[in-house]
Amino acid sequence: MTEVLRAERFLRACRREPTDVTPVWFMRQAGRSLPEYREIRKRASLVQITRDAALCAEVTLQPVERLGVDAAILFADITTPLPGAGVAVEIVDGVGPVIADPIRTAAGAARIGPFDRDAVAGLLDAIRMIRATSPVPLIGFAGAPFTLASYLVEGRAARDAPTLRGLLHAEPALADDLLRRLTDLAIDYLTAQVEAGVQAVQLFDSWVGLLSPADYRRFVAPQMRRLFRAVAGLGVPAIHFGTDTAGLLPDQAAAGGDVIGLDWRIGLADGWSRAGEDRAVQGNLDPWLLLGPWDGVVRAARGILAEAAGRPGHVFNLGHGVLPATDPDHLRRLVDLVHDETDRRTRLDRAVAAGAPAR
Amino acid sequence: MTGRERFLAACRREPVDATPVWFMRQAGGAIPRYLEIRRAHEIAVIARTPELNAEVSLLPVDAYGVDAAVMFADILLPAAAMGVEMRLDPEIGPIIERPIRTPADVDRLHPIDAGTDLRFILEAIGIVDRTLGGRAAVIGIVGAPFTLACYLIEGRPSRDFHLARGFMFAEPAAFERLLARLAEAVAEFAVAQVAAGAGAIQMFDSWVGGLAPSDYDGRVARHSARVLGAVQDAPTIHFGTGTGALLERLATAGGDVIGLDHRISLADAWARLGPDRAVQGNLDPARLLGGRRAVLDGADEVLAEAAGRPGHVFNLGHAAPPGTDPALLAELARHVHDATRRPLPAAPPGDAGVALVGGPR
Repeated sequence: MTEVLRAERFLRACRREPTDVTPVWFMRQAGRSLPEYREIRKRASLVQITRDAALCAEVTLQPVERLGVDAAILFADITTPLPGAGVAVEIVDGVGPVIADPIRTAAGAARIGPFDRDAVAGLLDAIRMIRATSPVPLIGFAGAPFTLASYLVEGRAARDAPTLRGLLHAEPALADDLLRRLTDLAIDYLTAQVEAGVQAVQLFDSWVGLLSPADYRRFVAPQMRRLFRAVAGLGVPAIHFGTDTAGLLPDQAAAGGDVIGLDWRIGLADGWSRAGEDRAVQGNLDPWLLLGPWDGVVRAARGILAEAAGRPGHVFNLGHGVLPATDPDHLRRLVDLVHDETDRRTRLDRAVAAGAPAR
Repeated sequence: MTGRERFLAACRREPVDATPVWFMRQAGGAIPRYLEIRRAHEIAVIARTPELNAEVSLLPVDAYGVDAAVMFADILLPAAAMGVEMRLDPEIGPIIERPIRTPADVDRLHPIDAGTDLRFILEAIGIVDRTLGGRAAVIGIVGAPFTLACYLIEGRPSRDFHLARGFMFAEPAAFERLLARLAEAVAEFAVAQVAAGAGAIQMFDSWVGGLAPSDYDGRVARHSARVLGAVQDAPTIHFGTGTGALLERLATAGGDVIGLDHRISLADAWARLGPDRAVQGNLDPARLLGGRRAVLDGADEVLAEAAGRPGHVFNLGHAAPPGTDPALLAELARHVHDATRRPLPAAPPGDAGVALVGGPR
């Protein structure tokens, strides 16, 4: 009984159906905060892990039991499909993805070819392996076109993405071409993931909050609409996540996504009303809180649950990725806290779930 | 109207003959005379020499035709006066030699005497005010306690100010003490600037957008309110970036004018703030990299959102990109004035007609 509920609750919440407890998972739950991951990293790079099906499956599943989360997220990087499409990427520790030859011309954009399934064969095999053993649903993901473009044009993470934002206005046709190619890539990449077995997908648009609403509507929204239409045809729920998006939420929701991911910079109730009550929401505890005293985490988590107010369609998560210095025991306690505080089962149901005879 | 009258009337939401305009960090940039001064002097020397500072602060009034001169100053000046050692790296920005990382570090900070410690900037304000003679307003600037704390803890500019937010959660009592001390110093500095001749004060809370609304309420708002509440004799502009979810809270903390960055539509923001606030903003500075058409079209969109309502001060959403062509900024200022020129309503009988002093431009 318990396992059935656990396997169901994330996907049910994505569809805004009632659940036994509020489901929880954490962005970047697999990876750098877990000692067992750091152990593997001693012998394999991030890129090697994503190419080795058994290792990738192992890393993806590490947090599922240790933390008790209600979903697994495929271990990969948003740049994972780029080398197959013809763009060399290096993942540098402490920096993130680095593109040695940034794309700033039409010829540069033309370097981005179609998606190459063979280049991510290990990852797709990992999906099949995870599905065979995971007690919880598997989330696939892709970088949204604007966010990928920010890496490709700047060459690496850049605070204000000045080159890309300037390029939007200096060379709108080039910007359109670049974003269109990245959208095509994301669609084919996500399609391959769903065909291999992922049960939901998340689009990471971590840098989109840099844009004005007008530029979002002009450059990004048309591609995101196309992307979400394609994903909807795959029959799995889609999570649309960005950071610093308070001014963009209505436009983002209009572009698509069954679930709108919120960062911590907006109150969950405020974010939900801006995204629209016809969407589920995901979020939104500040990941930095987990490095402070536990009572601060409890207060903030309760505040978020109070804002969600038991409405169907809340997936609990952090407002951005788990930080490397986070104590996994804190994450485990947070999962338990959210489950306990939102337990909507009757006493009888709980007794049955615990294996006690019903009286 | 003179530029000063136009700017101050807009801050008070009174009718104007054209929408006033200035640009954040307009003092400096690529104005030829500034580049010449820079070749002869370090930035710190310019900032701390009243005559040089005044000259640099005044340059944009003629170079761009803006309605206000904003002082050439760094928001960290009061922190330096509190005992924080720092240097300016031309590539990176301000670097704090010994960042604040422990409660004991907070207790190292001492109160300031603005009249002595920051006299150079107060003198520069006096020179600018006298030189302008009412032609344009003088805007003094201060950093908000939270944004200053971000720099002092982090030690340098950063995308997410991770260390600062980590300190806030790990050492809440010391963080509170830090903000309270900064607020005291900044409030004193702001009041002193007005006494020296500043016609308005802008408080920069550039990094406040990184906060959860509940943390702004619980840990930050009262310190911002302390600074803004201290300024009684001049309008205040309360500016932050990434504040789409915090606007109402910023307004509650204070400010006659709420400064908007480009990430939110001006019309939406104004609707949320209500008609009893003026707004400033909010052309995306990235458009300056896209050439003349991108700039003027963007300005027209901003002006359409403001829809001629009294209480709009035109500005960029943040600082102009380094190296922006001065001619482009001059054309932008002229365009804003030309596109918004309108007759002033006749002053009602008994009104002193302040708005008309100086006559039409």
